[in-house]
Amino acid sequence: MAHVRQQIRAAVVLALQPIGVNVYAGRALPLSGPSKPPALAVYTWPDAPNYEEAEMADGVCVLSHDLTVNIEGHYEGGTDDDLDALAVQVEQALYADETLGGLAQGIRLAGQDAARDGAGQLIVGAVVMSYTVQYLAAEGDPETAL
Amino acid sequence: MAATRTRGCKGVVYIKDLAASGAATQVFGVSQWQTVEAADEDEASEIGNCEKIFIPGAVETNLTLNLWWDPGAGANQSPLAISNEIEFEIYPGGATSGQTVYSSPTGGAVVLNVDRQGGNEGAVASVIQLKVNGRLSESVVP
Repeated sequence: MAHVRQQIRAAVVLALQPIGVNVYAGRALPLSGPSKPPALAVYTWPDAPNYEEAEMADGVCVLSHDLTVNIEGHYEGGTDDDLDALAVQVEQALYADETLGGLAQGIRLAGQDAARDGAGQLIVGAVVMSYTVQYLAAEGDPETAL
Repeated sequence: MAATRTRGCKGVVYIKDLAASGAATQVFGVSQWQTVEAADEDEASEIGNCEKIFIPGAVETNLTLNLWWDPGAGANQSPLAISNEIEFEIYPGGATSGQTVYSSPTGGAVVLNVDRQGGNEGAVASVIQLKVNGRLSESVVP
């Protein structure tokens, strides 16, 4: 088993793979060589427990977590239209199963932004798509999504 | 000496239909509970004494349950229907041995208000208000 956050990250990667570009979980390395753009990188921070939406469960506290899932879409030489097309595919892929295989209660849109890096030989456009994934887990049992 | 704190989220509420046989079972999705015990004030003032005197009158007990709405049978919320009579047990710190439990009297409690609330943000919730037919009893889980 793994932290629910890790399971959700893996589920998001799985959900995005049909898009047909490289998809990485928490990638810290540059996107170059065989892993060059177009590519998607999935990051899952921060993870904020929400005690206002907790549930009493007989000696344990079942917490609702708001997990920020940032998906960076990189597109070599991409225009805004390319980035928006990628954003469409990502959103459609995620909302095909809002529970991410039963791990989550739902997904909320949390904003999108774009960046462009033209310092190198290639211009790489990036779109950062933020989602809030709500999941339930008991205190002391971070590996089990409820 | 500081008072010991009991974390509210470790509590649990059991309910069952008053007419049903068997023991009460856990109701799932409880986010908050509240009991209010209030005595009537019966005035016992006498002429010649310019200070009012009161003695406690009948006691009224109310229970409010805040729930995350779940109409599925597994959540055991269905006994909390309008006009229904139920039995309940409230364990503020969980149902383990040594914990305190507040139980409904033989007459149970009547569900008098059922509010359901939903919005664009957050989960759908219910607020259930009950009047208790008698006094709560307090005991310790064996």
